[in-house]
Order: sequence, then structure tokens, then C-alpha cells
Amino acid sequence: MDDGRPIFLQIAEQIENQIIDGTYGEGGQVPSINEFAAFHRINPATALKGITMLVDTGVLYKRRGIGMFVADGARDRLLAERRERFGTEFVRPLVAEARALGLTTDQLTEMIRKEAP
Amino acid sequence: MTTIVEATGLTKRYGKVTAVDDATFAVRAGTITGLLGRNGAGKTTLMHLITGQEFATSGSIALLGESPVENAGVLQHTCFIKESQRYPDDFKPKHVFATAPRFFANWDSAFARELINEFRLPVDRRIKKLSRGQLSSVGVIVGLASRAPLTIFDEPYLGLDAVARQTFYDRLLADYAEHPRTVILSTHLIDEVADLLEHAIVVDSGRVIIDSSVDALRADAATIAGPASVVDQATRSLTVLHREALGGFVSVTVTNVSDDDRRAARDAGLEVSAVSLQQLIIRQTGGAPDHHTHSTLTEEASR
Amino acid sequence: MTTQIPATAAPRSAHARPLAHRVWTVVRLLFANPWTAVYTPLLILTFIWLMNIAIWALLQATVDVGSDADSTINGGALFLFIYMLVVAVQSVNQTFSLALGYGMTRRDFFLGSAVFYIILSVGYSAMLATLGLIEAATNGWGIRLNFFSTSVIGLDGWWQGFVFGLLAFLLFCFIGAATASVYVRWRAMGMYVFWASVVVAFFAGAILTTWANAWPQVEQFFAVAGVLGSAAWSLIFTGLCALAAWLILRRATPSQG
Repeated sequence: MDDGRPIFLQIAEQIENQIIDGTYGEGGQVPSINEFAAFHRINPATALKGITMLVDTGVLYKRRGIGMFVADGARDRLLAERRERFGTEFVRPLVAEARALGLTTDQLTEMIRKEAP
Repeated sequence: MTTIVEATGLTKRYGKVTAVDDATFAVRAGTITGLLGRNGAGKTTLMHLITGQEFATSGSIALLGESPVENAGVLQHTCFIKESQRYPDDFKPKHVFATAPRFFANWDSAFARELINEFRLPVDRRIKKLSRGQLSSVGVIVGLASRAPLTIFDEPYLGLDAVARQTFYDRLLADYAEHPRTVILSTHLIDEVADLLEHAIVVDSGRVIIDSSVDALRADAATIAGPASVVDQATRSLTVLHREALGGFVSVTVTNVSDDDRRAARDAGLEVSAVSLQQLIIRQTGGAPDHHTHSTLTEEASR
Repeated sequence: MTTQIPATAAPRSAHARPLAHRVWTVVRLLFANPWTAVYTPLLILTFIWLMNIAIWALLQATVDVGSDADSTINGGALFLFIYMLVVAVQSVNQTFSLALGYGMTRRDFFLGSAVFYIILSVGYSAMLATLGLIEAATNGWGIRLNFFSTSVIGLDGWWQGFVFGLLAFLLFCFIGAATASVYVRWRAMGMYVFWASVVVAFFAGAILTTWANAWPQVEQFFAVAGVLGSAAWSLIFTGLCALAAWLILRRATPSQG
């Protein structure tokens, strides 16, 4: 699990990814905290932290006695958020790496077009 | 959150040897807390002090708010699985499991039976004839099935193979999730349990040197690598635990790292990665921060 | 964390389970394997008794010892006292650490051990007294064998046999417990000091008694007290051993396991 960031963040991100790719549909139920903990072999408190974070950001909500569910509009909100971060998280390092290799912007654009026609 | 164990200035001396030196820490109820450190650091003595089996030389220890010594009221909520527990010569595992329910109010026989099967423990064989791993699994099963509100495991997996250890961790986690309780786990196999722990207390030569949540520990440390001058510049305000150099390439383990520091380092083109809990603790308990140079070229390159 | 800590995680310490329950838990632990303190010694006893029957019957049939003669008293059953002493020693040595690890206090352990010894002592002495009675009633198992009989040491009837046996068993048990507690607390060094002291005390006592020409008085004391009386006096020593065991165990700590 360890890629450097706190585990609860990684858990939260994984759930977000699965909401975005449709594994968890809006209004659908996500596994319980204990199930997450058991699956990833982590302390339930850590799993709880990740889930709580998603509840705080309005991605999930809790129905007492039943479980955690995906909030309406969560997918759209997540997509919008990620698109905003796309620039800093992906494009900037891409450009920096290209610069380090001595590629011009045109060459970079050409390569992008090849990958995404 | 309530604290279930609280130590203040706890000290234990055996003649000239100070096994526990002025230890102050708290274990929060309902957490899985790791008691980590090298062999002989004082973990076992600490656990004996917590359960009233050892008498403190000075300082205080409170279990559920009271002194644990000869205190049946608080001790009845504990289950202490010792590292090399010796059982009566005439005992077989079945005798242990037959008498355990009377000690532990929350004992779950069905759970015990499941565990006995999972660990493949021969219950009708003399304990003296069991392998080291089988002997350990007796203790592990008692510790898990007792569901004692405070369960303490002292290096419970001597002799357990990797599969059995994984079984233990999985069962511990699952059962802890279903039936929350406080677990104190001492070990020197830190990386194996790192993800299980919520809190870590690190002991070195009898002193408590770390008492922190595992998340905070992880967030606080990083390994930064790259060209020597760039790294040194980026880490000048940070605490360096360890430095390794090869040619002009340097890798430092630092603490007191903030997210801003990380971002700055990445922006400077440096590699920023996590420090495993085991690495972190090894560095903290290995003595003074050390600096390794692997080549005579280092001096030239760093000028 | 925002979750409530449920009862299992942070219990109220207020009420310990009753002492009787805890003491009985220790007793159950000590009896966990009934072979050690009950079945095995009984088997041995049965075997020795059968051997005696066989040999005496054989002797009567082949050698002319006089059909009216009783067998001489043999101490066939006496091994039980030493056996119980060993049981007491082992129970303290081997169970102390386990009991404490499972949440018992030293007081619970001591009281549980004491009850354990009392149960064994009562059981065995009742059994022996009863067997003595049966032996007398069957005329020595039909072959005039004196195996359980206590008449030769001046005891008469079931109660006297029972009380004597009880006091003797208690004495041996608590001597064992006291000795083992020295080991539990002070380990090997403690044992050396203990045995050295015992030897010194023994010889010192003997020398002093000899020097003061007091042996006749010692004999007189036991003669006056009689067998039962001496056993009653031994109760003081038993009590002292029990007290010693308690005081020693109170500050004992289980080392490694």
C-alpha cells in the first residue's frame, strides 16, 4: 500500500477512482469500513479516516445501521476536481521532464497527438 | 478518547541495570498500539509493569485508572500473552483452552475452535512435545479468543512461519474490527505489522523515544535523493537521520518534513519517497545519525 | 476518531469478580490435568497394593508364617505424602506465571493453591481412612494384610486416621509450596541459600539439643503428645509454611514465561 502518502489518503483515492470509473454507482453502497480494512490488511481506524474524509468532502454519506453510500453528483464533482488538478499533477511534471530531455513544445505536442489522435 | 494505560516517570531497575528509564506514555483505549524496539530495549519489562507482574522502582503506572499491582478488578480485563510462556509440564493445549474461559469473561469458544483449525494445532499432544511454532499458536489463540478488553502480545510469533503470522494478523484485524478492544503488540518485525498499528511507542535502552500515531510518523519523515548539493540545500532546515552517498548522488532520511518541503524538493527535481516504519525506527534506535560514504569520489563531486 | 468506544474496549474496573470465583478458577487450573494429582498416584497406589496382596498371599501359601500372623506394617501408601509434596512444588513453580498472565493476582493464586492442597488432603486422607476401615472389616483383605491400617501407630477408628492423614498431607503440601515459592521468587540463588540454611538449621538444632542433653525431653514431648497430638502440633509448622509461602509469593515476579 505504501507509495509515500498516508494510507488513508490512498484508500480515499482508490474509492474515488472506483466512483469515477463507475464501479460504485451514485446512490450505490460501498463496502463497510471493516471490509476495507480486512481487504487491504490495515487498521480499521485508518480505513475509517479515509472514509470520513470522503464523507466530509461530500463524496459519500452514511445511512445509520445500513452503511456508506455514494452521494448524488459525486462523480461529476470528482471529475471536475480532478480536471482542475490535472494541470499541476500531470501536465507540469510532463513539461518539466520534456524540458529536461530538451524537447520543444512542438515536439511535445506532436507526441501527445500521436498518443491521443 | 480514554486512556487505558498511563505511565508517568516509570522506572525499573534491577541492581545496576535500568530496564525501564523514566518512561512516560499513554495507550488509548480501542487502539492497536505497537510497542517497538530492539531486543533488550525494555519492552517485555514494560509489559510486565503494565500488568502488575513487576513492581516499579519509581514512577507510576495506571491501568484503567488504577494501579495494576494485585488489582483483580482491572487485571480481569487483561490477557497477557508472553513471549516464551511456559506451561505446566503435564499440560496439553486442550487443558489451556478448557480453563481459559474461566479467566476471560468474553472468551469465545467457537472462535477458539476456528483458530485451532486454522493454525493446525494438535490439542491432544503434550505441550512439551509441540514445535516452537505450535507453542506460539497456543498463546496466539488464547490472546485472540479471550477478547479481553486489553490484550497484550509480547512477540507472539516466535517460530510461526510466514503463513501462520499472516493468519494471526488477518484474524487480529478482523476480530478487532468486529469486537473493538485495546491491543498492545510488541515486535521487532515492524514492517509486517506497520499497517495494523494505529499508534507506535518506541523504546530504546529503556527510554520511550517515540510515542506517536503511525500516520503522524509517516507524514513526518521522507527520503530525499538526488545530486548532493541540491539535496543538502533542500534539507538544510530538516532533521537528518541518515545520509548515504554514492558518487555525487546522495540519499537522506529526514524528519520534521512538511508537505511544503516535499513539494519544494520535487520541484527541485529530487526524488521524494516514503520511509517505511521499520526504516524510521531503525534509524531512530541505531544510535547517532550516521553518514555513509561509499566512494572516495564523493569529496570531489560535492565540491 | 468519531466512533464510540464500545464496552469491550474501555470497561469499568469497578467490580472485580468475586474472590471465590477467582480462587476457584485457579483451583480448576491446578486440576486441569487430573492425571497429575489424582489418577496417576491412585494408579500407583493400586499397583503397590495389588503387589502387596500378591506377595503376601504367595508367602502365606508357600511359607509357613503361621496362619494367624498379620503382615508387618509396610509403608506402601506413604509414598503419597512425598508425591503430594512434589505436586505442590510443581504446581507453584509451573502455574504461577501462567495464572498471573491470565489476570489472576498473587493472592488469588495463593488462595487457589491452598484450596487445591486442602481438597487433595481431605480427599486422600478420607480415602485412606476408609480403606483402612474396609481392610479391618475384611480381616486384612482375607489374608491378614496390613496395608492401610493405622492401628500400629496408635490410631483408632476412621476419624483418627482421617485427621492424622489430613494433617500430614497438609504439612507436606505446604512445605512443598513454601519451598517452591523460594524458587519462584529468588530462583537458583534462592534455592542454594534456602537449602544451605535448612542444613545449617538442622545441624544447629541437633547440636544444640545434644549439647543441652535435651533429647529425652524431645522424646518425652512426642510420647506425651502421641501420634495425633504430634500431628496437631505439626499444624503450627504447616501454618508457618503457608504464611511463608504467602509472604514470599506476594513480592514474587514471573520471570521469562
